[in-house]
Amino acid sequence: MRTPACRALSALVLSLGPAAAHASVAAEMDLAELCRSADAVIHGIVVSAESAWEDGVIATRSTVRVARSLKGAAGDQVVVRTLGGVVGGIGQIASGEAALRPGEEVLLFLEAAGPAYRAVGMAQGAFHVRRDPATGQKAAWQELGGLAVARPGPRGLEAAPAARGAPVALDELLRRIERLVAAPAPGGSR
Amino acid sequence: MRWLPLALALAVPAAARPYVRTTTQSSNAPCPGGTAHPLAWRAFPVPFVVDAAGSADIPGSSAFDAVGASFATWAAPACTGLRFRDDGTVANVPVGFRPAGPNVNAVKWIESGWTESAQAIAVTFVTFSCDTGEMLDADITLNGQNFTFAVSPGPTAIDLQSTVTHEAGHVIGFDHNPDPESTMYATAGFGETKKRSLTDDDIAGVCDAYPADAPPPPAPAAAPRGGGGCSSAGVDPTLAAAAIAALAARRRVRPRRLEDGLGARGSPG
Repeated sequence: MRTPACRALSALVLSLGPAAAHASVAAEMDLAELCRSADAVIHGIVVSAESAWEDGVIATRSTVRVARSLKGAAGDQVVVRTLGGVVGGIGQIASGEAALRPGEEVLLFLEAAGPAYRAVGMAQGAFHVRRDPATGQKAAWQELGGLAVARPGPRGLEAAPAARGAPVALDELLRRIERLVAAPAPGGSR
Repeated sequence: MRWLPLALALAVPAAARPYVRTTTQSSNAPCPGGTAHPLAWRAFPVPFVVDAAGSADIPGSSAFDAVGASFATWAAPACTGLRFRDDGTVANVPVGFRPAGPNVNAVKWIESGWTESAQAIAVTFVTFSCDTGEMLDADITLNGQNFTFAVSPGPTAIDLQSTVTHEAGHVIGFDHNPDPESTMYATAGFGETKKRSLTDDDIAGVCDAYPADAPPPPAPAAAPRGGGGCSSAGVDPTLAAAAIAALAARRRVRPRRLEDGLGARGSPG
């Protein structure tokens, strides 16, 4: 059972971020669901990215140096596969996919996908971290502008709130994740 | 008083910004060079096919008809020259782009073996030239393995036509529109059908990108390769004035010519 505070945070983090890419449509995941679904949750820096063709699809494999592992045995670095990229002057956009940029600090919810990881729930599984020049504090947000999200409602899947809002303080977000990862999952299993 | 029009234009709130074009800088790995070419098709009609297997959730031809209607909606305004050609169905249609070809623009349900995020309901792939923004291929994949689709809103299903109309907007080069009424709003509604039709903002976009009285837009001069830099997708400033004018009398417009630009569906392949 989620607490009101956790629900509030989940609603907040799911309403963050400027439009940046394209749309796919994905089921909405709150912070607890992201934690529960992820095989690994890491905080780190994207150190490199390389795109390549994979049977008609361009995929980008980004190497992320792990500064802190909050869930799972991720090791010192992980490789995250995202859809889309550029190869030989041809670009491909895979709508709603997480965007990982070399040099960027990120907080990632990852699921194992063969030899690499991928972001849970597409762009929902990637938080981008930057220092707020006004406060000096680090803040994190999801870039959900490229992703249409839907949640269960009385009439079935319904549109979730638009992607807008302010970033979340990174320290607070990390504390919430630690609590959620440590808490027993509904039904008694992790 | 002569400053009033400018003042009104500047006073348009962010929530009422007009349509947004996708560019060569919109990808999560942007094209080199930093020049943002809007994505657009250069030749009409734009052909598309639907995988012959259709949707396991929707019997008969209803799913194919809904997909056709979704594309036709964007070609319906009299002010656009955009045309699609429905090439019918193809068995086991491939998704993605092969530089050596051949390629087809496809709509396909993946009923088993969905390899991307399980939470993704639909994923659209758009392939383009970094030098010009010319669109080379576009495919819409629908996650039939984990979600149920329907041709009418229901308690447990996703409205197919609303979803594909929204995705078709990406297929022709549009990004999300901040106007909640727009078909290209990021949270195109499920359980509702209004996204099946276009607002005046959507029509202004398709008519500016693909005007009726002009040939398909020429390819821009190739940008020099190399360098870096990236930028987020934004409003094309050259198109903003016309779209702002359209906002003044915004209303939802139903397509008048659903059959335009839509050929007869072929036999299942």
